[in-house]
Amino acid sequence: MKKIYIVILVLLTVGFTSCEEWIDTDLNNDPNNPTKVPVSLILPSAQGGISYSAGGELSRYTGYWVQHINGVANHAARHETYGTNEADVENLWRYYTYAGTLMDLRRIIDQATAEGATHYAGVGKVLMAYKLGVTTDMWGDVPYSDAFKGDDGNITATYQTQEQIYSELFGLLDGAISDLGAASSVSSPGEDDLMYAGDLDKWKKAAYALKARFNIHLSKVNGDAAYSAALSAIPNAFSSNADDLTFQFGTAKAENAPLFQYEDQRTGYIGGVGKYLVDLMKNNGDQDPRLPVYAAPNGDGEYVGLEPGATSKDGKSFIGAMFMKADALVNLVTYAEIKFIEAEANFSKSSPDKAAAAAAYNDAVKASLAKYNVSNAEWEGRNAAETAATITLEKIIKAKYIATFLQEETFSDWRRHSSIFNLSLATGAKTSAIPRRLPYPQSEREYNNANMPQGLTITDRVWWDKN
Amino acid sequence: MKRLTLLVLFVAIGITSVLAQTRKITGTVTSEDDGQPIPGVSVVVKGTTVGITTDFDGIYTLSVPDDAKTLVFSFVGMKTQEVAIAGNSKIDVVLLPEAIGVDEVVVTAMGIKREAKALGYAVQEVGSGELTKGNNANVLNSIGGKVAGVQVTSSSGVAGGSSFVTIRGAASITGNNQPLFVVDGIPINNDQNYSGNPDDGRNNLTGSVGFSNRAIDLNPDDIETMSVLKGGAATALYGLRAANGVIIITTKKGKANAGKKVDISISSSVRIDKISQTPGLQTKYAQGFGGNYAQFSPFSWGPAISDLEYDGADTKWDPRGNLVPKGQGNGTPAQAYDKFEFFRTGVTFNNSISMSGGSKNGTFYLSAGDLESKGIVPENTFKKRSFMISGEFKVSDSFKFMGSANYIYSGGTRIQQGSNVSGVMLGLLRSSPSFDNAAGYEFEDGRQRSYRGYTGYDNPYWTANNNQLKDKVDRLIGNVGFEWDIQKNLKLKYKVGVDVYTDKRKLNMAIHSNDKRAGQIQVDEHFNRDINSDLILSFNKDITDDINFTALGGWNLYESRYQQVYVQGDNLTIPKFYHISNTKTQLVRESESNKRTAAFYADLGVGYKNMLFFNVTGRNEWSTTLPKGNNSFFYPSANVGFVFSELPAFDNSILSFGKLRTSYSILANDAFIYATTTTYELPGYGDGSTDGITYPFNGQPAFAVGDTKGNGALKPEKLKSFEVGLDLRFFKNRLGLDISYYDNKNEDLILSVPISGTSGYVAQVMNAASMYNKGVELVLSGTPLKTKDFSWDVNVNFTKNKNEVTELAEGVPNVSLGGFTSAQMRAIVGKSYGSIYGTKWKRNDQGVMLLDDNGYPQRDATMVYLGDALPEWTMGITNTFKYKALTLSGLIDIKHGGKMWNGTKNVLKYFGTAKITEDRTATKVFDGIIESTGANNTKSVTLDQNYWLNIDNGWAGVSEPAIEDAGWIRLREVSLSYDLPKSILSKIGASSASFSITGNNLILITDYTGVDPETSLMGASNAQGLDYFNMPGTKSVVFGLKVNF
Repeated sequence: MKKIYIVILVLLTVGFTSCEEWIDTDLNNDPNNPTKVPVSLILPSAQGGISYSAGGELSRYTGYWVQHINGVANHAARHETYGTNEADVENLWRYYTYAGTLMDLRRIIDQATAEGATHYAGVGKVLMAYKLGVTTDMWGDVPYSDAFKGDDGNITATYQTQEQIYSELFGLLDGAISDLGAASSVSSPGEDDLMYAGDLDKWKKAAYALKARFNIHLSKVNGDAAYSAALSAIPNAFSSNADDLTFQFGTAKAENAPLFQYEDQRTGYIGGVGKYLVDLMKNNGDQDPRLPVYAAPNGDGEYVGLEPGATSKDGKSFIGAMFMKADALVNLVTYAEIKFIEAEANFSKSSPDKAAAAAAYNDAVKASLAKYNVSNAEWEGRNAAETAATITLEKIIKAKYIATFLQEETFSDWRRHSSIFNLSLATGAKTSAIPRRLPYPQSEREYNNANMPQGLTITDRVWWDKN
Repeated sequence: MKRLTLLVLFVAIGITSVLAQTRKITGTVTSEDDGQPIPGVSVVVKGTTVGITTDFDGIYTLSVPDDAKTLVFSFVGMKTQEVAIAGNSKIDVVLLPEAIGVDEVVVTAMGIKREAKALGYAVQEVGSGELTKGNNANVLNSIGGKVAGVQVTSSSGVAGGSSFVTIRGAASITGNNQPLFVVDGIPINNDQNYSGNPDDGRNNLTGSVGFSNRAIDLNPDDIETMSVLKGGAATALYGLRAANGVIIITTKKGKANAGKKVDISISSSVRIDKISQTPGLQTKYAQGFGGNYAQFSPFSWGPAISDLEYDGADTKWDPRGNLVPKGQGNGTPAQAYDKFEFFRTGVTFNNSISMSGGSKNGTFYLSAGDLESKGIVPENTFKKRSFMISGEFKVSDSFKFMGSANYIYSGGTRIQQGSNVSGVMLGLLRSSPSFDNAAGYEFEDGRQRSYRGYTGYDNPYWTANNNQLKDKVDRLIGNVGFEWDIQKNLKLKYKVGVDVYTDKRKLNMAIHSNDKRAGQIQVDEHFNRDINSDLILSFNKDITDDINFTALGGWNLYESRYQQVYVQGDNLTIPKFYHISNTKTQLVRESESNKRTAAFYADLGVGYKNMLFFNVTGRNEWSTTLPKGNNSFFYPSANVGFVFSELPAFDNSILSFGKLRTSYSILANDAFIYATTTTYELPGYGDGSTDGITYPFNGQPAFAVGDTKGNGALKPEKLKSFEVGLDLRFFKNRLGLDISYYDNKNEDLILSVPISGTSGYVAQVMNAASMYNKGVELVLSGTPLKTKDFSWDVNVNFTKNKNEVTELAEGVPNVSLGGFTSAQMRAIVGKSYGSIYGTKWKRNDQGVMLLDDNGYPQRDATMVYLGDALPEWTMGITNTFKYKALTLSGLIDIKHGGKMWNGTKNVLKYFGTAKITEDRTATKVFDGIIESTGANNTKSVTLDQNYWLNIDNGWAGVSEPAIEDAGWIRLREVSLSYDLPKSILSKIGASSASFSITGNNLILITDYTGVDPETSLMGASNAQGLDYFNMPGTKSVVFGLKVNF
């Protein structure tokens, strides 16, 4: 018996003395997630996030509204008929934009600047400008300079006007151009850069391309100044399709393109390509060589688009395989777009240079065909051979509408030139006009209501979309 | 009810007698009350387990050892009497009535057995008989409706499905709200682990398979009692995990038996399940659109089925041919197929055997249980095998070792459900009535036959056969310990226990399944290990004749480790060869979570003259989940019990027993694991509709700034609870009434507070929320009738709990607990926890509907509070009738109020399969004003395809019409049992045997138009109140046999 008691006493003594150690451990250090990572690991995250949204929700919502494509079933049918609400944009704004990509980019810029990895800071600023630009174009006034301060206890960021945001965009791009040209950088992007594989010259061109894009957006508010600013950026911007800012998705399941995933996992929600686009590309019988790329023929071998608000896809053309495949390419900013900007600016400036406009137009159309491997000298001879005498703004804007298929940029172009398009309202429309912005998300109404602009509906215009 | 359960126990224990002894004593036991003999009285030789029970005439015959001096006569509701044998061979006894439950001993915190009358708080026990009657695989389903203050919700009727339990409402916003389960002193894990890619951007709780909560592993046949500790004072000794109450499970033990006889107990039952209530479906209109038949259409807006017939053509889509207008075919009429023929009759076999016994040196208990369940969904199964051994060994009179080991194997085949295009109910209910799902599900080329052709939703037969998840759980719950009586009044106890399990799962999704067209394999392994150690020193002394003093001090260490490894393979090459080597891409994830706590605790009590009892407790606890330096916290409790009927001047003629009790306690809770730091996380980008992308991408790994901002300044949560209760027994204990009132306040509740994404985070961990639960519990028990052969007992328990979330965080009006974009469960300030939140019809400030120019209601996209999922009150009424050897009992369960989101119906309206769409010419004038003109609406609209498709459904319309009352009145359990008479027993050598037949849920009365409203899409999670293509519930009949040898 005694032996047992001795054993118990020994155990107790050992037990009590080790109690401190039992608790005073690093057991609460998260073994699943690191607390510090290099910028080279954050960059691929930001790039994937930007691209999935661009080819996913942004592409679908704006694609329905500009009638590139049609949603025919379930929630897609609701977006098709302008029923997009505050809950629909919740993930997009909160998880994939502000607390997602933009926060990652903020961290890249801050950390790279502090470490002296100037080239990373430059890439971060180009991408920040791109994503912030898309964000303000979609929502109008948004937070930026007061945002991303959760670590400092500021959880209700104030909003800046779109005009102020645009000046932030140009500031970011100027900073990016300077950073990318820095002679030295502690580290530079390489394979971790999923867009340009570390090619800093291309990043610089992308910065100028975005300058051109953002300036042309201001055509209705800045007039001539917008055109000349855009034109002055263009010589340093993209010079061929090889410069395009794109993102290549992959065949591996975790790398599948957003539109492929949507059709795979939400089969039947999208009905196909819009009638407006298809009719435009039929081009009065002189069929655009890109039509078989953009659209699949229906059962009768014909290209038939869907009327806005259509609820059945029967007998209609679906989206073409190149855009629907698992390893599709998502276009963010393209050489063709820049050429169309050049054409528009030259055409619309107060002292128009129509010859330059026609030349840029022809280059743009040819570049777009080349991009999809359907260059056709004959067709181009008839349709990409504009001259100072024949070129019109309508031609430029409509050709750009075709070239920027499934890019949210088309939504900005439509807003600047609605009268040229004259799109008809979808059958069963839940609003009296086609939306001109996205609604602010539920979380902003609930958690940042004091700062969020009030009283807006999705048919209201953003600042640069002057009536 | 307690009487009944104790009676069963006494019978079981009493029967263990018999021996080859020297002396026989016989006699009759009668009641002082009515002079009638009392059957079932336990007669035991004092200091031994030698004993027997009286027969139906109150007569006993007992062989006693030579040295036996005293007999103890005891019976529930009667005062225990000791009678000296003094050489008599005939001893007749008259028992005096005693207040029911007064001498009842109940299990309280730390497994301490105490007299119920000494407690200053409410404890309710459920005995083994009640736990096994319904033959529920999940023992939690057997306490539903039986304990005041306890709400049990089973997720659905599938085999192996989970159940969710709360006691006195929710006490946490986003954390665990279920009670702590303690088995023989060792806390066990009751998690519901989920499967599915952890970072796929979709909520894998809303659409997957029905998983088990781990309490399902317990074998109900091994359980002696379940003791439910409800209030803070009752659970204070358990510390931080006890804020939601504690369920203490005591397993059966061997009994020392002078005759060295081994008691053998066999129980066997078979349970037959059928689906109960089903959602209403229209049976008039065929597949199609705009009144035209269209094969493969998602909709059922086609022509009347009666206007169609088959053409007999050779088509693989239907053996009867194509559907064509009447007159154009071969005369075989089209028909509406009964969708619910898909479900089968479920059968569950449950067999269990136990052996127990002991001698003066020790006792043992051995058991083996086998449960095999075939669910109502084809291919759905659940299996459980349990082996248990426990025992104790006396080293000396003052020292003994004890130990127990329970090995469980459980698992089964689970079928896809919920919001999932491969979910059974989704494909079943959306398919058109004119389409026969049963006419084949797989073509020769491996593609699937579904009502939308090759796309859309899986044919339910396809998904049941081709998309199964199989799980295998191996679990060991065990403990070892000792008890040392250091001195007469001083005792040292130690027990260390472990609960360890692995849960290995594999999901196979066939190629051509709509959710995973290229096929998918998921291999998902969970490992969990909890270790608990308790050292308790206790002291008990009668200081004077009137004053008793007790003291207890304890030291607890606890550790929990959890690990998950998930491997996903996509894109199968060889069809139906389910091995990762056969997949083109793979994804691997791992996660881990660990914590430890340590605590010292003490309990001091003083009792005066069996009349006044006073207790205080205190516990200081340390937890690794709180910031270092701020991780120690203390919480006290005090309770008083005053048995005023013991006052000398008290007149007992009407009120035979009366006690007033009250308690106050402060409990604390620590933070969830890893809440103190902000980290980078593996990124994933998708949208609400797709799985999205993740990393490594093209060989590049990546990390993103985490979504949630950690908090290094967290402090413990606090629960302040006050309780007062009154226990009254009238008319010599024929009627009892027990009332409790409680007021629980939760403060500093820790949650991930959702914040504006513009901060760079979506949430921030904070001590932010407060809420309260106030409630009344009432237990009424009585014996309206009692004669020699017949008795009628009634037990009613009533619960009313009011919960309100009083604060979440500054500027945060509500937080989501789970659900969909159009309807979610939320915690909303000023409303009760678990409110339904969604979209409503557009109204003006006066609440008048604003209609469009055509007189249709309009959607208001802003999400608002839609209703409370918690019931207003619940009541369980048990009537037990006994006539000689026959016992009939019935439990009527009433749930009043509580809403459910019928998301199923709201979507079936869109497809044109809901019953409500059957009358397509009905008209309605909506009550409201035309928004543009302000004029009162007089326009009549037709409730036709256009209305259901474009205006009123879950996608185009609003959630408001889907909010339905989910209250019920149900005959939860009705049971008839027959105890075999001695004459037969002696022939088979048994000491007792009983047959029973039990019905579960045979009657269900509810206004809810979906499946049985006792349902939960997200299973055992905080988001209760959602029905989105949930699997149906069941009604069942159980045939049971129990024999003791």
